[in-house]
Amino acid sequence: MHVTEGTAQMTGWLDTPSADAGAVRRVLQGDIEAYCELVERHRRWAVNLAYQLLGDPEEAEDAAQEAFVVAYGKLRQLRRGECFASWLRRILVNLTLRRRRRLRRQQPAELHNPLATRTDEGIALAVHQVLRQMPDHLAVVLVLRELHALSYQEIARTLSIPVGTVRSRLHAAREMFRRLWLAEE
Amino acid sequence: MRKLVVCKVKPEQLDALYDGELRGWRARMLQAHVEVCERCRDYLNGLRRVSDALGNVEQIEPSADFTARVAMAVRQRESVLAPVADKLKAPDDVGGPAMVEAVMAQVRRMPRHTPVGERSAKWVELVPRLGLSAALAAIAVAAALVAVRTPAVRQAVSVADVQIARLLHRVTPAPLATARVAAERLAALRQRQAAMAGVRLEDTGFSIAPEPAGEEQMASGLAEPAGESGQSPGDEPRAAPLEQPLVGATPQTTAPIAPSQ
Repeated sequence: MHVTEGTAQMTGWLDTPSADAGAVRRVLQGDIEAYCELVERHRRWAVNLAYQLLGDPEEAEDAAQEAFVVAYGKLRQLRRGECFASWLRRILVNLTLRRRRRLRRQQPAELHNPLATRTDEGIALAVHQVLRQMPDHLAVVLVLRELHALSYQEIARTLSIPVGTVRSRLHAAREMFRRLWLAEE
Repeated sequence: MRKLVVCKVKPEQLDALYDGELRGWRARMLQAHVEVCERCRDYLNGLRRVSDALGNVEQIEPSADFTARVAMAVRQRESVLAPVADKLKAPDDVGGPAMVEAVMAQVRRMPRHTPVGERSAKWVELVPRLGLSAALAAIAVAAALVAVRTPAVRQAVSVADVQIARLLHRVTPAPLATARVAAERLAALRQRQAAMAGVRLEDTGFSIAPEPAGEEQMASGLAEPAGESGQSPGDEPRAAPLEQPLVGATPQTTAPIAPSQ
């Protein structure tokens, strides 16, 4: 398995759904502090997911905050508190992709080759650049699978698409990433 | 002579194997195939290279005040809604929020895979946003709930009642588009009242009274919000009558849906 434990922790494998359910219940009773508890628990993966899709830390943080605020406003729509993380992920992905489209319109893709520097930072930048060149529907599937270790089923639920579509998109995404990555190298 | 192996494995299957999505004999068979098929091994190596490259993305830490900023935004939102919540007092002694809460409870109890679940849930959002008498908001929610649960009525949901939309828009701060959606549900409800005969509203905790005819009754029913919006009933010609909300927090037995005028 190519997913590290660190990734697993970041992605919420080690979620505590029952704790989420309790916190959601308290929030619905008017306890805002309980919501802070939820934010604390999920903010790290949320910010990182947004960052991986946007490639900009500040935008990522804004997107994650917006997602938490929107989630708070819609919390009554959440039927099962233990599903808070996957529900939040869905909101976050939608908001982040909207932001990503806006950013793409405002800032055209950079043309320089960050890999030329051969530093860790340069390589990371190159990965972001490749992800940014990919269409949204492919990039998001790739990030959710490779960096958040979600199962096909979970990705399907997050994006509201069939599992078969996840499978084909993931294949297309990997092919495209490989092609673009080779071009960067 | 070495036998040629014709590989018919689809790349998606190898992706699934790589991702641990294949189980049991399928995984074992494919694994055995990969051991003898160079093409498939190359493909899997390509997948590893993609994973390795993506592994270079660094993780970032949220800023120290992340949670505090979210909390501040949430509190601001609460403070904005607080005055609206006060206005949600129904004209009689029944608390509007209690009624709305009853409707929300109803929404939450709906089957998980109700195709129109999201649409129904929208109404929950709508209630505080409407900011008019809770009765009107709640009746709209109830109408939506009943409408979406009845197949016959669901078919009629596309029917719009522009007059009601305008009325809702005039007496509430809701955008016309939102009000129009509300009107659609109400119009559908009225048009399909026959189909609705068997539908009971008791779960929602309130009922809908038969609609009194005429402008006066309708105006009096909406007197509070109309007054708030600075309009008098005589400002302009009234739209078609709206179902009168009978505010009843105590669970009542089913009342028939108001007949259309």
